[in-house]
Amino acid sequence: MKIRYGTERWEKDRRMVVWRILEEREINPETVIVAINGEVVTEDDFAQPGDDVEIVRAISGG
Amino acid sequence: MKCRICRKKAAVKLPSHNTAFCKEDYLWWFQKNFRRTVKRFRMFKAGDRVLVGVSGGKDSLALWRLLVEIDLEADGLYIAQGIGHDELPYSDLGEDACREMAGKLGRPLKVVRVLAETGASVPELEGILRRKICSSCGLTKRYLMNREALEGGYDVLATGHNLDDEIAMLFANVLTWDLQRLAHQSPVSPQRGPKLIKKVKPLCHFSEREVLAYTMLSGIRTMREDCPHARGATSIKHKELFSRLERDSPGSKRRFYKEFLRNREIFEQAKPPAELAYCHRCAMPTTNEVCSYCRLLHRVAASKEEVHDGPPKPRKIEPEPASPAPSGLCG
Repeated sequence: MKIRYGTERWEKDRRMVVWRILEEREINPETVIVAINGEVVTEDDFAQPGDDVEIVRAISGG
Repeated sequence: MKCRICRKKAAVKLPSHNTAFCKEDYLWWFQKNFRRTVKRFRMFKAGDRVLVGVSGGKDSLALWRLLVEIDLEADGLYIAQGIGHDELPYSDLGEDACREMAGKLGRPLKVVRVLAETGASVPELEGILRRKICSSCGLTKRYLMNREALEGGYDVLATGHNLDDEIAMLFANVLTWDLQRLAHQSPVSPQRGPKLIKKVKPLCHFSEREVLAYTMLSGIRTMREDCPHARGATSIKHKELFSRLERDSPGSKRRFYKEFLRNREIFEQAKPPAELAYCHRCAMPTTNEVCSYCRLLHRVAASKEEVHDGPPKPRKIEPEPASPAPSGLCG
């Protein structure tokens, strides 16, 4: 699967639960919304090999 | 995880509410709570004309759409700050997103350019005023939003401040025990005199994450880029701090803000609002003889004269009190 988080890109070749993807990068689930193939999902959903995972950062400032 | 309402697969989990919703029921929950906040704080009267300060970001565009959905005559105001460069034309991206939303809603969008108004873009103001850029950004936005609302005959000015913005501001004010600012912070700032328009923050009870979920699930295209000048901002550090607290103790942010609102009269009584005067130059409300915005215009004009007259002479600049920039409305 291909994972995007801001300008960062990385790949995983196995099925993974979303909260584990976030935990591996020390991303606080409280600060993001995750979409798999364009569909918003919870941290308990699974991403499959071949999926497009987008982690969108909620915190903004200015 | 299943939706609390329909038991279908959930799309959004809300630990602070100990619940989860599917797409359709999340949108219903969000709109219901939006209407509840608007009603509870008596933000609008029937027939009010509303000006919405939009930046192209998720909060202000979600707010604009929600206000139109509850049948308010809500128009957009975009303040172009001239921020960005070829690789990240930040202000242009924000303006594009606002124009797209205006088209979808069928509502007018007014664009005011700081460069045309003051003679300098916001990044240029940083050098001229020798103040942090966020301070000039906040000053120009506050002044221009109020002026445009007055001149356009609007009754209320609405901004997209969310719960995290409010918490970050509250926390900063508590750290310094700034009673004046604590007394002033509220979801509704009533109209004061004929020239200081009523301001409302209808998203103040939704977290950034809840607003982001709303925009993604309802298909609103927003600008996702962060302001290049916001990197390392104290407000973002405070938001991250509270997000860690929220992860370990869901509902902390909401409790902190709700209890503040319940007790904020204490601060109001301790520090009643300062007496308003009117600026000798522009006749807009201020607590000084000349308002901060007119002082800014004067400094810009002086800097241009220095350029024409030759190299600048060293001069002492009086320090001005820093004020927290209103979050989420950079353009």
